[in-house]
Amino acid sequence: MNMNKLDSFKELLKIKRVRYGISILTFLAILSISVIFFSPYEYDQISYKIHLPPFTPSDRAWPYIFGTDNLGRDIFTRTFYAFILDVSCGLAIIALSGSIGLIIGLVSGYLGGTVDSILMRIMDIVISIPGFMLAIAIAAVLGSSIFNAIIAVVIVTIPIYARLVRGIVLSVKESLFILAAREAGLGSLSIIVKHILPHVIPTFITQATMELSNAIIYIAALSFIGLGAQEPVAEWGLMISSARRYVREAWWPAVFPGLAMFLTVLSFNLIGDGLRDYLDPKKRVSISG
Amino acid sequence: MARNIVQYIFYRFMQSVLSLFGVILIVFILSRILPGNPAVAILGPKATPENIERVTREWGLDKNYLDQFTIYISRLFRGDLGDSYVMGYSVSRLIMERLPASFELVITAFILSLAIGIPLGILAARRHDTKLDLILTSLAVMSFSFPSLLLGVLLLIFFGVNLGLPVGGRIDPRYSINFYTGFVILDTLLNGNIAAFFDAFMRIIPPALTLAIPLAGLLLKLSRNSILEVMMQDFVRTARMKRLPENVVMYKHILRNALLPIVTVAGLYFAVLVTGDIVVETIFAWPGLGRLVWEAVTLRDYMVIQGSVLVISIIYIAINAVVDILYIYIDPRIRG
Repeated sequence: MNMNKLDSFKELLKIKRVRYGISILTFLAILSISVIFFSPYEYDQISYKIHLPPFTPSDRAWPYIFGTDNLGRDIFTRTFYAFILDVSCGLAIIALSGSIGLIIGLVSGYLGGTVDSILMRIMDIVISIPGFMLAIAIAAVLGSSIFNAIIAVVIVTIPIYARLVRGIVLSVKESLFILAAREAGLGSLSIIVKHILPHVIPTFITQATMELSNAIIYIAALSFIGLGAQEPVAEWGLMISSARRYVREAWWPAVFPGLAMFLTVLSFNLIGDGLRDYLDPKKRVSISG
Repeated sequence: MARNIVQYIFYRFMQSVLSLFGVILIVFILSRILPGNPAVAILGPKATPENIERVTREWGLDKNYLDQFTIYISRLFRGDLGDSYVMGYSVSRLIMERLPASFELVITAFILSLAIGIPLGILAARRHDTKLDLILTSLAVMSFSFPSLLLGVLLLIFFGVNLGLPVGGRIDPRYSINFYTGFVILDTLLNGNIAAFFDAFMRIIPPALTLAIPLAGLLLKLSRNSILEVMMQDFVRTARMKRLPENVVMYKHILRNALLPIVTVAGLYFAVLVTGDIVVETIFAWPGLGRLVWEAVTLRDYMVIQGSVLVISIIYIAINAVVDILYIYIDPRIRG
């Protein structure tokens, strides 16, 4: 880990899974950006041309590459608008729940004692409830909107980070270098930030990458059952939910958003998996491929 | 040592009780931070003043929160989850009606995932580091990235449109059967109605597969790695040196040691299935608890959402506790 940042990034890219994951994501991101800037269709533009199959030519510059949905909207445009929305939601979720969980874990692990027991009991209770159910209960109370769905998922996922971070803090807290820092008169805050945090960050980032795909699945699933994004927003779960009723007549409005979601989730899982092996050489032996 | 086990079980049991209490507390708090009068949430927007007054009295809504919580818990212990103002029944009755369908689906999915995942895991381990192994493990990794939203839709299209099989619901309503167990597959057989059995069987396969495939992938990977780990151990080399037939080594020595822990891990995922089926039941119009949650969300029927969340969480916590306790019986290392 003494390499400089560029070197370690190159090293990371040598892992096939990470390379695949990053390539797929880059591809999807480029498509999304070009859709936003160049697509001749609006994501919420309704037309009478309903359920046109994929690659139907149109009088616009682009054909209907993924076809149209039950309201005559271009699915290609919607799918890639949804990419931006879902990935942003996922990022927002891991940023929020990650930072809250990080703080709880650091405080809990470093201070120990009563604070630690109280915080960890709360985390234990939250984690013992099935996450999706709790998210449904919270989102149902807050009301159906994508913003409330994000809050619900954040609350549900905080304990994952809190427990992870606390574990690492406990394992390094009694190390010699921490004791030395304390002897040298460093305050708690600077010990946490300068000496403990660097040990937490690698595992934390790996976990966050893995949680990103879970966050996306949560948001899509909440939207699917009606507790997240609302029409006419382009969101994968919502798109699949609206297309579900017509799936016998037209498969494409449901399948393409689903495929985009699958590729995105798969990429983050691949990157996360590769990161984990990269940081933990022991795992490289047992899980090949 | 026996004392340790008793202690552990007691500790684990208390932990579950604490979790249950936590779930109830959280659901209670959520129901009270609902905007507006909680009585209106219980009764729906068309509530009459008399009904609001009655509900306020029954649930103690004019008292302080501690009293409200006590009333809430005591009603809960009597199995009273309130009434659904939309569907007009008590919430507990609605849930009890839906529960067998969900259990039937989840148990079928669990059996399917074991039947797919474990044999393929054994196959991958026996042929480890070959092309076949690589294909199987890659498929496994992909299968648990596969969102059930997409998988469900694909299977719905494949079974319903491509194969033209009946999909959606548990059974064609034209078959009238008597219910004994609540599990349609068993009940059709008990009725001796073979046509109805096939109809029910065809309908359970797509949703059960949707739930089973990600779990099967996980089981494949876990059992493969676990078998490979056991294969490296000394007692296996000894067995081979004794020139025991390869099948005996595989099934008597390796699998017994490698798969027991896997089966218990699978138990934990059984609980995950219970929650995963909301999406699946919605896609396949399966009239279980998950579908009830979706209907309640659509109808804004908060009492039903709350009741279902409670019941599903309780089932989840109970299964987790049972699996944890079973695990110490199966894996002696933990007893130590």
